[in-house]
Amino acid sequence: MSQLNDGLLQLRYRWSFKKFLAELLEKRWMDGIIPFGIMVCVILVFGSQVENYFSPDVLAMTAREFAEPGFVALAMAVTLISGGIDLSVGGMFAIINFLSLMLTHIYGWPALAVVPAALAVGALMGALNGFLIGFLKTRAFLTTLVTMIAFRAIVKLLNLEFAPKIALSAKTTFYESTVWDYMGDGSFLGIPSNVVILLVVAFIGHVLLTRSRPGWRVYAVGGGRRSARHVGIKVERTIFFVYVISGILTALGAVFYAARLDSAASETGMGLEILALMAVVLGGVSILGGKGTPGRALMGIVIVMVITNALLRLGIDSALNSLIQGLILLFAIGIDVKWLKHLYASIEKIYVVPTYLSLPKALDPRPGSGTVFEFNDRLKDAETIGLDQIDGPEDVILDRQGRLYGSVRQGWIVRFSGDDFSKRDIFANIGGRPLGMAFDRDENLVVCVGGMGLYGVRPDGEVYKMTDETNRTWTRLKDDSRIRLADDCDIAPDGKVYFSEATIRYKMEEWPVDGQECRPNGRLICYDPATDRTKTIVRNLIFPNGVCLAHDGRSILIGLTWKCDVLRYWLEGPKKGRIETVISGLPIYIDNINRASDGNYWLASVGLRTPVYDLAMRMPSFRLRMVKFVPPDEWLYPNVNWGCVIKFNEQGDVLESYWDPLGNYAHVTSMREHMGYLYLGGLHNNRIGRIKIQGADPEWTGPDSYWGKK
Amino acid sequence: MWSRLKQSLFHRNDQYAIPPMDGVLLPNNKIDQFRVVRDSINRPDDLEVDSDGRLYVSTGNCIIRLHGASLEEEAVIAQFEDPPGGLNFHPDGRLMVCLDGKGLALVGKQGVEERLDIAGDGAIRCANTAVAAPDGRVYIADGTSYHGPREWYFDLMEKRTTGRLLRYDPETSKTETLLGGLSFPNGVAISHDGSSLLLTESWSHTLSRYPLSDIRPETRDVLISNLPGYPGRIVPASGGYWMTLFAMRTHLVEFVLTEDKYREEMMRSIDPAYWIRPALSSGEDFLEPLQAGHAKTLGVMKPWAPPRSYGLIARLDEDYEIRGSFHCRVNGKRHGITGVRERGGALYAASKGNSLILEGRSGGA
Repeated sequence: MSQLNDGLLQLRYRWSFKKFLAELLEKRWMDGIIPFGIMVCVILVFGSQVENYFSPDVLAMTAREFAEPGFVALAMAVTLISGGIDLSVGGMFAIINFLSLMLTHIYGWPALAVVPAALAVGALMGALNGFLIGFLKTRAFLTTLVTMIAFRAIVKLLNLEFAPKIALSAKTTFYESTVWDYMGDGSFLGIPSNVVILLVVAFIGHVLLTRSRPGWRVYAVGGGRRSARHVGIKVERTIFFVYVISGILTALGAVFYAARLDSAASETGMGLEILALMAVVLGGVSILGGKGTPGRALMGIVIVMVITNALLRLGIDSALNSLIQGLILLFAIGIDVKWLKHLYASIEKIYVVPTYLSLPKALDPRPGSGTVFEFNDRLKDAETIGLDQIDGPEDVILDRQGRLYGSVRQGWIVRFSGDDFSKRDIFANIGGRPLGMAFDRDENLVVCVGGMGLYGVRPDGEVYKMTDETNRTWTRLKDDSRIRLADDCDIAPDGKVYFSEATIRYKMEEWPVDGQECRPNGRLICYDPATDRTKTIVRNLIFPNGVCLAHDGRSILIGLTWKCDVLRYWLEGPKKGRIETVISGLPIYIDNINRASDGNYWLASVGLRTPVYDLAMRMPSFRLRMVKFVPPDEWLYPNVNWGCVIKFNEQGDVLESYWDPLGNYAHVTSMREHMGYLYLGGLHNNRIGRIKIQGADPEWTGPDSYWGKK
Repeated sequence: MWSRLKQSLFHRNDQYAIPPMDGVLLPNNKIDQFRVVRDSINRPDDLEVDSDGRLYVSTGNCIIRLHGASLEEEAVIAQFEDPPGGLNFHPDGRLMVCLDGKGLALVGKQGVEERLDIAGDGAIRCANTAVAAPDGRVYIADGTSYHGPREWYFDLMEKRTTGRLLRYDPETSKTETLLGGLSFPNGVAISHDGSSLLLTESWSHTLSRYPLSDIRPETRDVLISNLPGYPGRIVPASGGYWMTLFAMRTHLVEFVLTEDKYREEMMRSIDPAYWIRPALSSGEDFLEPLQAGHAKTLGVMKPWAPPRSYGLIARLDEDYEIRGSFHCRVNGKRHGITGVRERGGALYAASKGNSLILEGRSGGA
């Protein structure tokens, strides 16, 4: 009955809407969901109110009008993302418009020459802004306000001088150019030419901004100028080019405008900067910088233009039109600001979703219990290596020369050599948080690096990446292709590296939160150096940690930390690809597993099950509230202050246990046998320990056991 | 209406009310510097000093007396079937001893001279402290009607408020209940001017005062509310008072107290030694609950980890304001201070959690 109950409870907590929601909200594209929603609403509402709104002809005509402010909105978006603003876009727009008409009508330039010339002038004007703001470090707002006035003045002067001539020439000589006409009212597959170009430009801009190095620099500068400078980004240059691009985009819009309307009116581009700014902010590009995309800028301009256009066509008075427009924008911006403000806080609130886990009653480890886990003092006299010279050797390993390696918190592999391990050097600096290690056939050290993936270190200390990506689970909303927390690895005779990823939902420093959640968030991944391919082979494991190739090389053992189980995954033989449980319900939380010289296995324990923690595991909602309401430093934890090492055989019988009554090895996360000694490492320990093992083979070493004697 | 709604919506806000250990309660390690008068003494509960400077200690099942220049000599002066607790002299020279589950014994030169077991509407199960007023009447803090003093943590985790304040008149041998429904009254003392009665209530973290002439719930004057720990005994000092806080409040315990389902299941199925609860000592048994902050890093347990057990003596001035404190922090081994007495510049403390009698300078707080 109770087992049935357990099963039902497990089922109930297995799938969680909250988890789905949290992972959905976490998606980057959810940032733009509100502008997108508004856009759809606006189109549907006004589309249904205005007759023939969706007929192809009308749509094409409306779209053609959208495109030109669209370019300006893109320009505005780029400057906003970089943390600035460009108010001079309207002035530039007017100048370029005028210039294009001059060149075509007075000087008779061919259209193919006019366009580059216009873009070049746009770039030049942008460069002026960029130079002032980027290199002379003037305020973007004031600078572009001043240049806006200046550009406007230039337009006026030009207008006085040339407008009559343009008008005259338009009357006398007809400017003939298919390119110019095509730009003005041509279509491509029924889509207006300027819209096509706008979409192409926006797409390229989107890809460049969000997926290329220069683009990321723009976001970095906008998000935090000082931090950007600290990481080595050339802030001045980046800002300069942002304004140049802004000029070019504006010029592009203006050329299309000139080609379409042929109008040299002096009020061209009036209020365009405000329109673009409204559209862009409405689309969710933050006015504070560092946030937004070209795609969202376009959404914004579509919303603004649909409203303006529809109200106009509904015959609403233009003053009222502006008022309605303003109110809608205000409302939308309000919602968007609130959404962005609360989105991350909400994700944080609902992200942790604990599940039900009922662990079987474990053997009693207390002194006097008489079990195989009975507390003893066998680690009491452990020799100390590298006391206070090493910060948290999660894993330890020895090479053929008897040198001792530890993976430490600073992102290093520390090596101890010499007869008494007194010589310490930093063998490699990988970064991240190096965890489990293994030697391959060529004596390269394969290291799981938390936060980075799977890396290798050649005998000369050169670091190389093996893999940091695996195949994505397409049925899962959360993108799990990046390897976040590779934990321990081992290498099969064919050279394939099998490694565990403890959890895909949390980062290295958040691993205890995964313990509170206790969901099957981990997986077993295989990397094949021969083909350089990575593949997830087992999913949905509860914090898989230790990985060890069986002595016969036909299967691998996997230790599940929170589940306190050891599993076996068959690599070959009749059960190939199958999983079976070797040990279940240990009284300790499992960390690494390694081979012993007598054909058995060592298993390190990162902590001890306590009755209150076991109870909490059966009460997910209690844990959820604890995570919410109790400060993290006061969360209930597994007892990680009393470590131990146990030995078990191929059948999964636990043979003996080693405890440390002094607490020097507060928790043991790894151990290696080497020439009759057992070496001990711990995630937060300040030393490596070693004890002599009674009756161990004094010749046995790990590399020999895996790759034969050399 | 609004406050009730707020209470039901944000009822967990109150747990953030544990005040930080700051200002006069800023942690130090002064208790660690005390001289050890006796170690491995069986869980001493309370102390009393007589006019000759001899120290009386309730320990195990007996009262012992320590004397000599540095209190090196020892004599057993009384033995009981049940563990004795609070000690205080009556103005007539007899020592009043609180007995676990039994009430009160008055010990004179001839040994136990008088017993007081029944009080008004029920037996005294949890006499924590008894103190005599100058007129000879005895005030007794009876912590709860469900458990003896040794099982105080049951009372906390069961969220009981069944404590009483009793008054016993030796002349008429009559006992009356002055106050009921208290949250584990623990320490009781008479103010220096003899006009007020001071009372600590452990589970409500308060120190209150009542006029000695008129003790009623209505005359309660809360002097300190919301202490960061569970107050124990309060005794006179030269120009003020000493108050022990035998354990500290933690967010986790306060949280579990709001989680009835978990709390009840824990109490039903788990050995009390391994409950999430405050304790007088900790760190010895590895099945005890561990909190995140307890995890050893580089071989060190940080002293500011959440305290399952703690050592704390607070010094109050004449106006009942805390003026200073002695601490033994989480990484120390002098926890669960239940008894404290001052005599001639020396401060004696009984660490029940770690079975120690300590001596420090009273001026150091």
